[in-house]
Amino acid sequence: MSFIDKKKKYRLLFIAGLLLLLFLIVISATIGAAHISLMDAFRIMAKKLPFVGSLLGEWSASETHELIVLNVRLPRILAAAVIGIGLSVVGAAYQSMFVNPMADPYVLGVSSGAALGASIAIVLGAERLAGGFGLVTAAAFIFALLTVFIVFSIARTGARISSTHLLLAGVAVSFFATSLISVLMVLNRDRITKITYWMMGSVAYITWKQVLILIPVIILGTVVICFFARDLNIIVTGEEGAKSLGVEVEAVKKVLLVVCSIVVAACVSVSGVIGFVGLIIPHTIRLIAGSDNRVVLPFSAVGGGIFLIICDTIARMPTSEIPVGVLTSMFGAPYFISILLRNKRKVV
Amino acid sequence: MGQQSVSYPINVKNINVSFGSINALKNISLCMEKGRFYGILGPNGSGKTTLLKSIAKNLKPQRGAVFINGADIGKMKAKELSKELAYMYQNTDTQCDYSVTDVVLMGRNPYLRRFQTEGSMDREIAMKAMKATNIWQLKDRRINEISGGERQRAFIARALVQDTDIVLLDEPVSHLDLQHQIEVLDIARKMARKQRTVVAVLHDLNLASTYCDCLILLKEGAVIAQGEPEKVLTEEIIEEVYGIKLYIVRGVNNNRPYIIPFKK
Repeated sequence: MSFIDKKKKYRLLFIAGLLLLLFLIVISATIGAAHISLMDAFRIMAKKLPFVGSLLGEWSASETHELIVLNVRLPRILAAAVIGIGLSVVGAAYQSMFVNPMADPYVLGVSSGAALGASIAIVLGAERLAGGFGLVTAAAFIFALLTVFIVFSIARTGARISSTHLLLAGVAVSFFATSLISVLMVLNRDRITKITYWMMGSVAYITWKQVLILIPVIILGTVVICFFARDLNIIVTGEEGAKSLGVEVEAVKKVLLVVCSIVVAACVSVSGVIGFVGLIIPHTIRLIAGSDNRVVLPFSAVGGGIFLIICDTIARMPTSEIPVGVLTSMFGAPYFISILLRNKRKVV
Repeated sequence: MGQQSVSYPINVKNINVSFGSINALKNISLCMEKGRFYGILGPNGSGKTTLLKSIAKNLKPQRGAVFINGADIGKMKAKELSKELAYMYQNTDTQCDYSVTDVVLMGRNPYLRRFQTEGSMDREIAMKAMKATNIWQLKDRRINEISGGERQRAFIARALVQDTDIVLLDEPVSHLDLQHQIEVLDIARKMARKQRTVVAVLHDLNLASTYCDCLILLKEGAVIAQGEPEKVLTEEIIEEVYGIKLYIVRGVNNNRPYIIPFKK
């Protein structure tokens, strides 16, 4: 079956996936120490939406519930959703672009760079919020982009960027940044816990301001990445022939690298290093639906959002919170191994 | 008459390609005409693929330029070029699991806008190409699960679907059995008869002699001989280029030269 034969089915499934994602956002908002009913959670959120709010008519929930849903739970849930979307769609794009199933969103050193930036900020004691963004977040974002820039500069030869050089430079720069983090930790033993926690990845301390920046950046980035699905398909079948099929290989790669880097840097700087999402979600989609990027990219996005919401909801259930970055691997790895065993097909 | 104003479909002007200290192509100039089937021949490492890649803008020559219908390909956008020229490369190994139909349909990419999906006309064209290359029965199979020869035919179909005036084929028959070698070369010759310019890198001198209108023989990055098979495939030239002893049988094979090599 070719893609066009299944296009209608995919479109319906995609809409179903989006609805499931929205539904999970509401469900997740009911879960936690305070008991809030599904209807109440839904109403509290719907009231804030334009148009829909007025349709609900006279109705009011308890003020505390409203505060809990809107200010405590919702920013975090939304952050988990978009970060899941961003990491997973970038993972999918990188795996195709590098024709390497092991590529993940952090393969170019973004995570280590961000962690280095965050560590420096933490060591300098700059943990207070600056206008709701946090200096740690700002430092992480700047260092993340700086790292990718260094990796690009190393890998570039003239106008061409070699994939192998990018991956190798990414690994090297990544190790270098990690070693600097270790030095910082050894020299500042009192900060080790904080740095370690940051690196485990969590969306627990996210602010509305951060969420409101994350959402447009990630959604826009995801849409742009999905534009290039057909070009990526052609690049995967052979970079040599891509140009004579009308794909500006180098330009496509550059645009994607820049967009992906910004998306990942935005994710990692607010949440720390949440691993594995960008690896397992795209591969899961491929194992189910095949590796056509017109399917893999959008479905990875939705799947990543769903997966991270579920993980984060579990993460905040116990009294002592476990970072979501730990849970993604803890639940993700066995699940992924099980589908891998069931379905041993070649994947890119 | 008016030689200056004629723009050949393919015009290679003094191109030089080197990889490090190795000169892969040494100042090569060639003109290729409409409606002819060209065969590029030569021993391993003589620059056949490099020449084809240079014409396909896959490699940028250090010196010289390639013109397609009078336009410098160095200044053409990929999309423009892809409507003029289709290129089937040598290594069709792939790890991806797209369906054969989806791979063939990629040949329609030059004509699609970014958000457009292939329409019924594109599917019609793809079906014709797949039937012509004898892979229609494989349409729903995955490209990484079919044999090398089948995959090669799928990539030839993809090039056909592009519907270009120029078709470049790098060793299109290398993985094929005898029947399919003949079929593919028949298709290539038919395309040439439809006023296209077809250029194929070939290894089998006899197949080249049988099917091509014009041969280009390379050795160490330089053109040793070019022209009709009768002119290029002579004892002296082949002995010089390949370093083998041979007989040439004439009067069979549509009066094209037929080569029988033998050990010295």
